[in-house]
Amino acid sequence: MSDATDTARRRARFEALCGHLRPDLYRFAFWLARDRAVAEDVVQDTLLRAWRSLDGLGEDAAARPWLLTIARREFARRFERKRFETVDVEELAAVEDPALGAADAEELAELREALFALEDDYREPLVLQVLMGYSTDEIARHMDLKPGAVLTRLFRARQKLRIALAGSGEAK
Amino acid sequence: MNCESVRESLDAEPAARAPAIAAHLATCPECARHAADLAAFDAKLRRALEIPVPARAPPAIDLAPVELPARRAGARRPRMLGWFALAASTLLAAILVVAITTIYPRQALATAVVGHMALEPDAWAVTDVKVPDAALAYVLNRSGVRLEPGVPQISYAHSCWFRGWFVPHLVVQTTAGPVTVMVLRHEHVAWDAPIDEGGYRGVIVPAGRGALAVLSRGGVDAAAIDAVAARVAAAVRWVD
Repeated sequence: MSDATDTARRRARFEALCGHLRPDLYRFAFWLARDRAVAEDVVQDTLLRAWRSLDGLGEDAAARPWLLTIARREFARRFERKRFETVDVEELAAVEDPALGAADAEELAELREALFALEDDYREPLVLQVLMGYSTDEIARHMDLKPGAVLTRLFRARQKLRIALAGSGEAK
Repeated sequence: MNCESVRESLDAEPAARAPAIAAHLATCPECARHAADLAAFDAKLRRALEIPVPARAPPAIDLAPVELPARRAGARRPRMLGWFALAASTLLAAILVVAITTIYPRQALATAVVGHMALEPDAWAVTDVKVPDAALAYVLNRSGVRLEPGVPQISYAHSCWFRGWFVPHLVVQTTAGPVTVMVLRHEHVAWDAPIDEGGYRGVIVPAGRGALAVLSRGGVDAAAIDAVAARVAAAVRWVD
């Protein structure tokens, strides 16, 4: 079989496996980075790395966790290369909010602000559970944690969000 | 399990229904209410996390770079071949410019419209309840749009942030099912561009100085979609 045919097949498999996962990948990267430009870069780097290591993907059904794991590593790599400056969460929410589309509901905007402020260790498992539908065991594998630690982080994440939302409600 | 341990478990895994938790919830109204509140909170959380995804960008990376054979040292091309290559390159560049400036923007717009649909599943409800006139007027006014009479049964009107502008996102109920219309004042298409991706079918049509994206999913046929597009296009007015 010719190289061109192989490449075409490989590309078709890649598109079939990864194309529809791009929204998940982008959202996951966004909530890791809290920055659209960084998220887009992470998605790009993730897809490039995934393309290079496509042959290492076993079952097609594993494509989603495989991609999210690569994205996590790509983000960590980027973080190692460049230490991000401390961000002002209110400023970040104000900058990002106009781009967040459905954020016209005030309570959603408040919730996003609280999510921006949540520490990475709490935000990531919450995103995986709520947005990606991961089970506790899957989150544990993804983050290399014990299931008990995941449950603690999820419990605290929701607690912190509720406290933040109650605080913003009182402030009005 | 007591109330405290049930609530701690639920706060970590709101959807978890281990037998012991389920049994407790069946007999404890307060914990059952807590579980319901948590489910509502998580639904809101999910909506907050589902940020819009930008339209797919053209690939900035070549996924499979082809290695070109090294040019032999000292090899020279015949002069005529050089002119031919120059002419062919110019023609190819012209074709690419036309393709990029006409096909890609329309494709990107179609992909963005389809991407937006996934964010508003509520819009697809089949209903005979019309959206209140005041709500419709608010959504239209916000984007500088007016609708002449003639578009019946608008069941949903929402002001959506789309590609840098607030745009009216409407749903028209037809006998075949709901048809979505996005009124895109700031988008321009020269001619009708069909949409067929992600399970959605429809069309982007020019409408005065803007455009309409009209699409549906499931059993609504192209004729019904075209009919809605024609009625809305005839009724839409751009307000300065």
